[in-house]
Amino acid sequence: MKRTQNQGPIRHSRVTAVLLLLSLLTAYRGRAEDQTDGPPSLSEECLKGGAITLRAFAPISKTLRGSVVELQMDGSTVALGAVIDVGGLIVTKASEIKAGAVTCKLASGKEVKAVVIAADDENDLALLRVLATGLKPIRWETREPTLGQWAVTPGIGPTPEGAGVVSAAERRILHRRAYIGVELFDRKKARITRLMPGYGAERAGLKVDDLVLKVNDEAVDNRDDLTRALLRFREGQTVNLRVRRGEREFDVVVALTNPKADDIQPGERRQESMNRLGSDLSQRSEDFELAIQHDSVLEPWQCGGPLVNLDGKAIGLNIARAGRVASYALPAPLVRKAIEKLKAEYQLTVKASAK
Amino acid sequence: MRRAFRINEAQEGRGGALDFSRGVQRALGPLSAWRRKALLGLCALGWLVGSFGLTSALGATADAPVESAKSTDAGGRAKNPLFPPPPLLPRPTPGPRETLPAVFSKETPTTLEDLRIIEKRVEELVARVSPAVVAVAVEEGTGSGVVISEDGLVLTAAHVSETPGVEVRFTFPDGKSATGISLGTNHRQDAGLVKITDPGRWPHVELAERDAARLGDWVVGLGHPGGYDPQRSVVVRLGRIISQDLGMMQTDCTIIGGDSGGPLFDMNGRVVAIHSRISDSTAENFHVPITAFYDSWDRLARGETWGAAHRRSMATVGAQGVDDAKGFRLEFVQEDGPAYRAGLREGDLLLEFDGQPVRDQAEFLRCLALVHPGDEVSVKVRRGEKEMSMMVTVERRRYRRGP
Repeated sequence: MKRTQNQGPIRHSRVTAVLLLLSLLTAYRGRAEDQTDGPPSLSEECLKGGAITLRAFAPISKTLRGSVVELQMDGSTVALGAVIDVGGLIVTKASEIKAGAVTCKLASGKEVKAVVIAADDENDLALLRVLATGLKPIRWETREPTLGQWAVTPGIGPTPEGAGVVSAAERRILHRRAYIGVELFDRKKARITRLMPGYGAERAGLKVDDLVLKVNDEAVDNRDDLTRALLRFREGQTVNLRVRRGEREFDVVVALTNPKADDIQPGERRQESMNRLGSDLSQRSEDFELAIQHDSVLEPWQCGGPLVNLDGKAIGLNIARAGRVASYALPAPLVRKAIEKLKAEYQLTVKASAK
Repeated sequence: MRRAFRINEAQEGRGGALDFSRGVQRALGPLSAWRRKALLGLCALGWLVGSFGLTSALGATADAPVESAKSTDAGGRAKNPLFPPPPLLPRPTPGPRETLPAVFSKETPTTLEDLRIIEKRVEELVARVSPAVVAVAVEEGTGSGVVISEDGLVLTAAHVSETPGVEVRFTFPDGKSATGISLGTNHRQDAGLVKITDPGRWPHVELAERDAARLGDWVVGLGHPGGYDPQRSVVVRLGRIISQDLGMMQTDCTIIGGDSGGPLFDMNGRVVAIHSRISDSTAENFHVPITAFYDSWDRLARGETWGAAHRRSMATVGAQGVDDAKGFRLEFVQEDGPAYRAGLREGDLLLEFDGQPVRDQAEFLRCLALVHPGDEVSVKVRRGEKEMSMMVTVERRRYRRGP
């Protein structure tokens, strides 16, 4: 594919006409054949998210014209945004527009100043206000998305930024896994087989062969139970562990921390490096109350705008490029609720400053 | 903001990867330059099996040696009624192929109506075939698989099931679980067959006939990326066949660790390939064509394993060597490793391993691939003029760094 990427566009323009003719005569149906090297392959523009395929979605981009904006900082686009109010309210992914002046680029090419008026760290959403005409609020879908339905990411151009399908129903996206710093070689027991130096378990005085019985009153029977019970906690939190050592049982408070790079277990580290293959990931790509997963290959800057169905209605708001197989969107009902809250907060501040 | 991205860990394990790539070249014949490059790239990343789901969340390494020994020792194998399995499991018959709507033979969809037809097809297909897509856990690793018969035959990747005769745990999308056993593993093409042994009638899907898939076909990839997650459904990916040749299919259905062994479906909802590996770009996802399963069906059903010398074996005795004029000579014996404890020393010429003659490194690796962590095997070496025999306990390879 790398090769096709480099040579495809040139070759394509040269041979499209020939190929169209060939398509009538051969079984290849217009599919580009690499004649210099390697077996025949499908041209990159024809892939699910390829440039030619995306042209089929053009009517959706047209419908959404005026409903999506590009947000820029220091001259480069950092996020997309969804217009939610004809008066110039825009919602986007907060962590991409942290500090500094934000410029809003419209479908017309016009650039206007944008002001952040409220932010919701929990959902990573920010509300912006712009002074512009020709804005059109997005329409929200009320039906729940179906697995396998198209999930389209319109930008401000005539064809979308990306297209994919809904990969997984909405679910909670956990935060990064924090460690208490023990190794458990024995699958059938929650028995500590090694303590990692410098982590909470060691500092709390736990020892090799200690058996963990409970995590905050939740009984754990084996390694997977313990692993699962600890997933809920994040760095900086503590857990109360019930521990059996020989004949003795006691309680101990253990702190969780994020693992140092060298301590991440090889399986996780490998998954992490695979996740970054071919994808640049969003800075914040975890810890969301609910998210729909879709398989559109997006860049981090292509998040923040609406994720729409074939009717052009928003099923959610793209919130993160999270891995090789995953882009996340906050589901429409959650975004709408968060927007109402943000608006209310903003009105309170306005009233307060008016007094 | 549009940046190219290269991962830095791609270099890791390149030594082993070269070995494998030679194997692939042998298996696939001469490869064109770009293809070789792609293979090398993907080898550097290794197999797609995830070892994260079942390991400790607390910073444990992925190589817990304790349990794995039990489930795979020779005694356990002999006791299992399915090992050796019946000589011939009936070869699966391909499911029917219906004529697809015209959009599926277009170069690309061109209208919203085209897209709606694709969508309807994909939604129906996903709902119909998802129940048969299972998470497959073998020892410490976890991958995916797909049930293809009512009595529980499951296709997966050879690097997921690893070795015949090993206990396999399955999880269905509805959370139900089952146990079974691994049958044959074709490591040359990464095709693996496993079987649910619990009694039951299992949701299953049909296969496409051999060579049914065409360049440009739309396909749906399902699986459990990152391992089974009870909070999440089977994960759906859509894509097209970018290229296929020599036992390999490439699509833009993005896959990752944990997807290995999961199915790729054609638009009739029939399995056309099984997920295997990836390389740099999101369009470099590689799958084992269903033809590989047809071609090696009898051997897979009989529980044979082959092509194994080229995979990364999980077994180790803590010794490495080189080929010299006399044979395979140990060049490095890890202090306190199993070989060292058994009395093997650097400079020893290895003559036999587990009763098999060893004349070169390839033979040693092949022997090693056939034993399991926990096995006690006999080893014969020549040291100077003397020949000696000893017993070595095979251990599980560890990748952990530091103490």
